[in-house]
This record gives sequence, structure tokens and C-alpha cells, in this order.
Amino acid sequence: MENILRDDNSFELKFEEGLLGFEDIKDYVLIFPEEEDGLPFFFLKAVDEDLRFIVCDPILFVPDYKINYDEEILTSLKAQSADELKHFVLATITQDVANTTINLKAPVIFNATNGLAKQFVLNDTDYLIKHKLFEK
Amino acid sequence: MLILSRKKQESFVISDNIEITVLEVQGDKVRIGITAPKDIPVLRKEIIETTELNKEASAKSSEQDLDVLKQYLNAQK
Repeated sequence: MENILRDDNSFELKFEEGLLGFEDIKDYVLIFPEEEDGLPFFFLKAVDEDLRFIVCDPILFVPDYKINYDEEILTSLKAQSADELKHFVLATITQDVANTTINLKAPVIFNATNGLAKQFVLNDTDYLIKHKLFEK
Repeated sequence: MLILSRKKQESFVISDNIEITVLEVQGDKVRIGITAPKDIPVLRKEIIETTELNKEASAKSSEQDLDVLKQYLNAQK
């Protein structure tokens, strides 16, 4: 993910349809931690609103996590090829942090070339909406 | 929960204006047709769940929340 960053460790994203539940908010920025801590978490922050999410690259937790970047995804993000696309997932931190989950069923996929982003609710996968980060 | 058995092309009707038809059954996948008035939203349940979860996620998204998570994560290693 690091190779797409601007000098200030951020990357602008445009959600033309917003995020589910926040359809009116289109402009976000990904903000990466200044100090590399080896953990795959970062912030997705709305540009003009007091709204943000903790997001993560799921690969550390689910090593075989894979998205089929199909034609619909390519078209809606105006991508020429799947090489332009990257993804992350939203984390839901719970009162008891041990129950924190990530939404593997609905990743945010974005085009690293033009900054277009969208949350896709995947069909045909067994990934969970509430995938527990920590197995008991 | 009301449970009904239906074969391919058979349907059932809810409240005289919503019709649900089983179109195709293949392995563990069922294709369903829904005829309903335009003002009745039909959404895959995952979309509603993700909408709710996004709202929940945004509520706990401070630096402190992330720090708590990271500490817990490091303690698990």
C-alpha cells in the first residue's frame, strides 16, 4: 500500500456512492501511521466531516483472503486492469476489544490510479460480515 | 419462522402484492424472483447488516480505540 502514498502518508479516495449508511459523504482520505509498527491498521477519514473508520489490510489475519476483481468492479472503478486495484476492510472495535471484528464480506476496493473507491458487498463468498480478529 | 417447501417455478405470495418465485436451484444456490411494488425496498440482508456495522464502526474509531486494539493484539503474540 505504501507505494501509493503522498509525502504526508495519506491517499485521497472518492466514493461516488459514499459508504453504506453514509451515502452523502464522498470524499475521504486514507491516513497511515507515521511510525511503522508492523500492524496493518490505518484510518479512513472523511475530508469535510467528523467521521472516520479504523480499517485494515486483512491479509495479516486471513492470509488466503482473495477478491475476484470482476468486470463489474473494474467498470465501476474505471480500471483498465485488476493491477490498479487495492482493497481494505473496516474494523469494528467493540466494548470488549477481544470481540473486535472485520467485515470481510464488504471490502472497500479502490483504484490506486484515479482514487475512485467503493464498498462492495461480495456475492458468492463465504466471508463473514463479522469476522472475529481473535479466535477464542 | 414459517417454513414452506417449494419446487422450481413455484411461488408464494405475501400480503397479496408481493410474489416470491423459486426460479432455479443449483447445488447450494437458489435463484429467486421477487415481484413487489416499487415502494417496497428489497435488499440483500448483508447490505443492511453492513450499513449497521459501518455506523457502529465509525463510533469507535479514535486514536485511543486503535491503541487499545494494538495493545491487545501485541499481547496475543
